[in-house]
Amino acid sequence: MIRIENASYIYPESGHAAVCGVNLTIQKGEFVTILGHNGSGKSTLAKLLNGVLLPTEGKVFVCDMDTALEENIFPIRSRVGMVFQNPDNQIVATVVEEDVAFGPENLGLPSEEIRERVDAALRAVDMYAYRKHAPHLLSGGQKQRVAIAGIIAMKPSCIVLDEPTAMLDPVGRKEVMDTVLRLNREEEITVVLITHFMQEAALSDRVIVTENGHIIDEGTPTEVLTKREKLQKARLDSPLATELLENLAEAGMPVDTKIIDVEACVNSICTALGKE
Amino acid sequence: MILAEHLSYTYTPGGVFEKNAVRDVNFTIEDGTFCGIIGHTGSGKTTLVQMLAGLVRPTEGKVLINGLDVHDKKIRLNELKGKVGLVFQYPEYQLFGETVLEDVMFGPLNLGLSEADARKKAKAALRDTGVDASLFDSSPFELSGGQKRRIAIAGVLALSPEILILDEPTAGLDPMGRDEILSCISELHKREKITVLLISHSMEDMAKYAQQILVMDGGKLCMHDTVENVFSHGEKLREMGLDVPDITRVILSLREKGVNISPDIYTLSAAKEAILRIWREKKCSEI
Repeated sequence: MIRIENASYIYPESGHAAVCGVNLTIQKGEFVTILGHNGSGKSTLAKLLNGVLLPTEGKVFVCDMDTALEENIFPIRSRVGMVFQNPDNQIVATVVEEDVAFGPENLGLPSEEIRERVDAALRAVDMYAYRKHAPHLLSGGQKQRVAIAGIIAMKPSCIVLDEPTAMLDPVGRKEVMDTVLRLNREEEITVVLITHFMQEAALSDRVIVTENGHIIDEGTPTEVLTKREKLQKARLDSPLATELLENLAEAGMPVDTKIIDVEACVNSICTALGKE
Repeated sequence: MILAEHLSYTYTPGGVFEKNAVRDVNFTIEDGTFCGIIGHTGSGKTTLVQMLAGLVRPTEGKVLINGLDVHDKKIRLNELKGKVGLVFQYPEYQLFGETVLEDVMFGPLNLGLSEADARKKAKAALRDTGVDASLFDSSPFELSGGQKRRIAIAGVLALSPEILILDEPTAGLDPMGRDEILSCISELHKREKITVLLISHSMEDMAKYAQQILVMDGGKLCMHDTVENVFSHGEKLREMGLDVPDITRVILSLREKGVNISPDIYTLSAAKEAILRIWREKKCSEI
């Protein structure tokens, strides 16, 4: 789906190298999380994925199309859609369905097809019932789902989400993550998620950790999220369940420390306590 | 002491968009308390703290700080001037000084302090928020998001407020940045005995730093209690679009599986101690 070959990005104004010689391949249908502290280069990396930024060195290919070639930009952007942190900055219309229709309208599609795509997109994010509502009266999670619907209506094969839940309350976070997971599992859309929340990274197929523009770790969520020292060096943290198990193991209790979710953590403690 | 009496706020009263953002809220917060405020988006948290800080006039009720009415203009400009500091959401967008130090000095200068005193206050506030002295003469706009956030918070701390209100100060920060900012606030709370009100969507932050929690739901105050009592209502919190910390979830599941452990535990260290105690007892009984 996306292939990054030895790509670097240096900001022209400051000379700051935000991405340094990154090699990364994202497979079709994969759900990849990019973790990294503020300023580690993850958002710059995301902007390279659909040609918002062009690498100052190296190449980025989307479906074998080079993002540096101008004639490729339009087909690339119609395949890779982006969702950002603040839902209020991404909504352009005063009615939910008009907002979702904005993209397909700009593609110059016939109006029946626009109608179909808008309805399907709103159903896919479970916001069809709100199609006539004013976006500014929705909750943060609902607005973010409308922003996702606007991208889905363009029928992309990949969605890049840059901290989509940073401004949401716990329920809003769950609504957005449930939607993202469903789009990945059922509609087979490739997902690249940038986040600071370890619980969200735990849901993905593969986790990538960035630091100073480099990829410093990569693997399944369990592999990456249980390396606490390495994560802390990258100004991140492992899930609390993992930290608790490590604390217990250090005190000699026979628990499994390669665990990242609450349920498995509880089971491991119960086994050690002889409660099945 | 902060006293909220029948505090209500209605947007566009009588209009078609009439909305009760805050409804008949009553509470007392003693001096020196670290109090968390949680609630789903749109539950009225931000409007509530804006009223406490005297920025928004309640449509009904009043706020008394040490017995003084916050919404009496004379009192606010004299006795209460600089006593209540409010750090808004995404405060880094409000930076404007040419240098970091200048930006932080703006508040104390406005309170009428001399240049030298304002500089002293600003430097102390920047030190408290962990901003390195080598950055004092830089433009705040050249710094990273996390650093900007600290400078903006220092701008409020430089006023030496007795009550510090923070509206989601760690949204969008990485885990380490979040811990650094909150531990410096917690440090200040302990050292200067200031009252802190912290709005956050992170139940983990509440568990780690707060002593008591106000829970807002649909504009109403529906709980005001100690952290352990609030988190013992997991079901109710989830109904309100909130959650309990992960440690609480572990403890509650252990209890469901028949482990005899106190439901009040919500911190990592307490959970570790309690689980180890049970495990050691079991080992002893087996010998």
